[in-house]
Amino acid sequence: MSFLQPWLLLALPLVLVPIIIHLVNQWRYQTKPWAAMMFLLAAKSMHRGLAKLRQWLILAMRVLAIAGLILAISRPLTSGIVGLVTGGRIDTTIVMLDRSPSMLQQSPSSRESKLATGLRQLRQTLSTQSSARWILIDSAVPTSQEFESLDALIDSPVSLGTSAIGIWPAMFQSALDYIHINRPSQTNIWICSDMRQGDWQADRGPWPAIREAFQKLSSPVRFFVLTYPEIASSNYALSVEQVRLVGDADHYEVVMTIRVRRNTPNQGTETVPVQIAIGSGHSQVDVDVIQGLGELKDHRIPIDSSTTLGWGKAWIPSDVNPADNEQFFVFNVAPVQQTIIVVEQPELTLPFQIACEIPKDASGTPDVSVVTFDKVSQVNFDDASLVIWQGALPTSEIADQLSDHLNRGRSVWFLPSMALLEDRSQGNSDTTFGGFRWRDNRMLESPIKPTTWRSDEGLLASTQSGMALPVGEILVSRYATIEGETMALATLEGGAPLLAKLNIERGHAYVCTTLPVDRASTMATNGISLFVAIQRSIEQGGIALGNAIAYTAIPKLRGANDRQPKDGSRSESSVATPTTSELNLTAVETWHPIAVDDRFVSNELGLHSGVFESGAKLVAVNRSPAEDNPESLSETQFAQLLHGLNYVRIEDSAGSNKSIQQEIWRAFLLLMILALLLEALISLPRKQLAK
Amino acid sequence: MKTDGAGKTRSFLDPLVVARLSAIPLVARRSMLGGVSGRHTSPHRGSSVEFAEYRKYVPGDDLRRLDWRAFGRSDRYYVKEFEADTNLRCILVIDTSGSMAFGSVGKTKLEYARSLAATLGYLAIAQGDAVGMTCAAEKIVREIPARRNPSHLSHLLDEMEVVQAKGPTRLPEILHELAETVRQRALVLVFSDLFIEPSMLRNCFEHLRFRKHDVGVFHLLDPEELKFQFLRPTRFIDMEGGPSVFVEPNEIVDRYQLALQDYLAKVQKVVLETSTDYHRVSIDEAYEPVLAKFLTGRIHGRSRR
Repeated sequence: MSFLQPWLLLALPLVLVPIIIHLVNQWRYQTKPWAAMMFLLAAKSMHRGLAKLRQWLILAMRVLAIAGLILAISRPLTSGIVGLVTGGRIDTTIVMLDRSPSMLQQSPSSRESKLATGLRQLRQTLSTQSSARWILIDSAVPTSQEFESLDALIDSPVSLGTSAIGIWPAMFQSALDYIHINRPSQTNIWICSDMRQGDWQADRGPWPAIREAFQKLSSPVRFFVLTYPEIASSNYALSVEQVRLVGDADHYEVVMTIRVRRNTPNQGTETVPVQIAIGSGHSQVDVDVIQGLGELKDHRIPIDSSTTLGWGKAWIPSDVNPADNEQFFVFNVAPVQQTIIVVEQPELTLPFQIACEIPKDASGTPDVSVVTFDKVSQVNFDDASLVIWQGALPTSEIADQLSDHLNRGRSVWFLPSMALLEDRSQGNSDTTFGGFRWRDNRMLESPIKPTTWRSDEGLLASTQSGMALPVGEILVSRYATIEGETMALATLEGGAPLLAKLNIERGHAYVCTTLPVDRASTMATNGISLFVAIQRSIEQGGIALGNAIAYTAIPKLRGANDRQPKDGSRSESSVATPTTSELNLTAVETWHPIAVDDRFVSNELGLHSGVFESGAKLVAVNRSPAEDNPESLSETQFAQLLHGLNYVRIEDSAGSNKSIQQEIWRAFLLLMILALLLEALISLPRKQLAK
Repeated sequence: MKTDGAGKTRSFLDPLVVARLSAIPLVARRSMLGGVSGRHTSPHRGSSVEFAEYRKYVPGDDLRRLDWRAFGRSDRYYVKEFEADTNLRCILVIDTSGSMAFGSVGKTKLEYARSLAATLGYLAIAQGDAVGMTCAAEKIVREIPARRNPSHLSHLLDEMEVVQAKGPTRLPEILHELAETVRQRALVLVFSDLFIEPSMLRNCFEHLRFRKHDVGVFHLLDPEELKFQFLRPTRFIDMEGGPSVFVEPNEIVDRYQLALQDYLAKVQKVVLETSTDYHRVSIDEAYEPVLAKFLTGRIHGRSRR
């Protein structure tokens, strides 16, 4: 419990006055000669009943009355459990603030966002408490920042919302580091969050280690968790993906996939108008949202043929969360798409080479390089959109280069070695890449065909006219088996994958389990499917090339730019963090903003959505798609995360005017009056007996 | 002016009160056995002018008492008998135990008892009755046999004046003793605070009644004893030498009142059942109305011839 006039509590010893008077009264007794002793003795021998209790009750009521008066004029503040456990002077108060886009969800009535409500509540609550140090750790900059006062902390620009996803394990780690370094005697950690699953990463991340570290701290740490888990069902989130510029020198079109997602599935069909502005041009397209999801694939917008590099913005009508209503995008003429084929023997991948060399349109001749293993160290993967790797999986430095290649959003195909297809003893290699490894082979007397394949999306999807690719015509007589987490795009009879996609966060990595040679399959002779798949793969990887770059805003993690040292060794980060290739935060400082809200401070440019110019490149920064997932941590999940730690969870909602702490002097005044009335009632002489 | 008949000043005797009360005779509620003729009924037939009854003549009766008129009317012999009048013996029993020294209204219970006893003694002697006195504490402190000559009054008052309240009380034993030693049919007046178990009082009064005494009791209580209103914790010291008691008055007042009311109810029952002329007196009252009430009450309850 805290007080607005705490110095008046110095008068609290006055509650002892009735007790002292009672004791003095007992001490200053009178002596009286008495004749009617027989009545006194009879009275003393009678059962006392409630007489003694009555005296104590009178004394207690008097003490309560004085205590109630003193507490009332001290203007106490309370907030239920918070009021009971807070109070006194705190050495360090750490505010952990969720600034992710989902925290900008507004109250439908007051239009106050969760973040603004949380900050207001924190100001009201913490202003009644004294703390030697005020520390902010926010989701966008999860490092400890010290402020002189609470007001300086709340009013700082860093308390504005961002487009970056929150990484709560990293924030907890920062708090731990701060406590380890500064060793405060007592720490209160106030958490303000909407508890999104994507931000808290409850199913991964080093939560057990964090819990254990907090439990081992010698100084007491208390958590106060101010949560805003309310989900606005009528909120729509817009995302624009796969933006590219297609066409020839006379006629260009910006092609994009537009997705509109509703927080909760709707009944029937709702049409959401999506406004798109590119340069001075403006267009609108309606997206039908069915069961909570609306998608418009490959929407084409003709643009001026002179524009080969540009940016645009798409938005939907304002709703309760303005942070997910717009998306920025950039586009550029597809660069020369280079393909590197690393092979054991060039003839083994000749069909792949041919498929790569056939130009998809008149924009230019693809550049295809075929290198053997002995020269692979001399290859520069920087400009390649697709790498086809045939043979044993890469290791060490080459593996790192391929990982970096994938992290840049480009494509890799893995093909088995001929030795693996012909000799079982070559299998069971321990080498893995992206969570998979070659395991075994199958040599069949009679060839088999793919039975199922993904014709709705991916490399083997049907054409725009709706025609399915002739994947089922491919005969396979030898194939390799794989081990690891993959998603099958085409499956052979018996369930073994023919083509599978690796489960990685960035880039596009595929595994083809056979080779386009007669001894293994008819992929070369039935080459339509192979050609289409390769072309699509080149296109996927090519999007990441060029001068138009799309980034997802990520927090400014401590040492984020050092996470992939040049020597290739992996750094040991204690928390799960996004891949570095999403955004180079060092480079952000050189960016020149083109379209960005000027409220934001310059050193936070990479944390907010917008369009930036970086040399000859255009950069679009948008929020993470994970922010559009409205799932929140349940109370049980949260309790498991902080299991064993001393925490209080306070649930609130955006725009709530109910203060966490409230003045409760009236209650104490009432207590005093009640105590006085009771005292008077108990002290009343018993008339019936007197009669 | 407070003097007795000998002209000596007595603090506890007010001649004006005596003068006013002398108009009301002190009568016995039952027949008395006196030594001389007086104004009280006697159990024997006498020679007064008040007709009692006719009785058949038996040989040996004095022929002078034969009613010839009745013989003339009925041709039978009847003897006409008349009531006898006698004086009474009044024994004043004054409790002089330590508790009688208590008084919160400017006078003690003993002083109040002195006033009552002296006035009644004066009135009794004035109407020719014999008056004696017994002062009772742990034992009989003073005892003066009943006499009716006026000079005896002075002696009685002198003794009354010097007696002091102290020591424990053994009033029940003394009353039993008096019941046996005082000749039958006397008026026994008790002046006491009666801090005795009501059951013991019952025995005393029944014993006195058995001996055909007319018993009157003045139950003297101080208003402080009745109300028990104290503000501060108090150590009460027993005036009769018993153990002292420390109490918080506010805490015990309820139970004190319960004990007091219970005691008074029991005493009331005892005096009703033993036909005792009982008067509860708070010593802050003037004693004249108390005596007037006592005397007039006895006139209504006097014995019929």
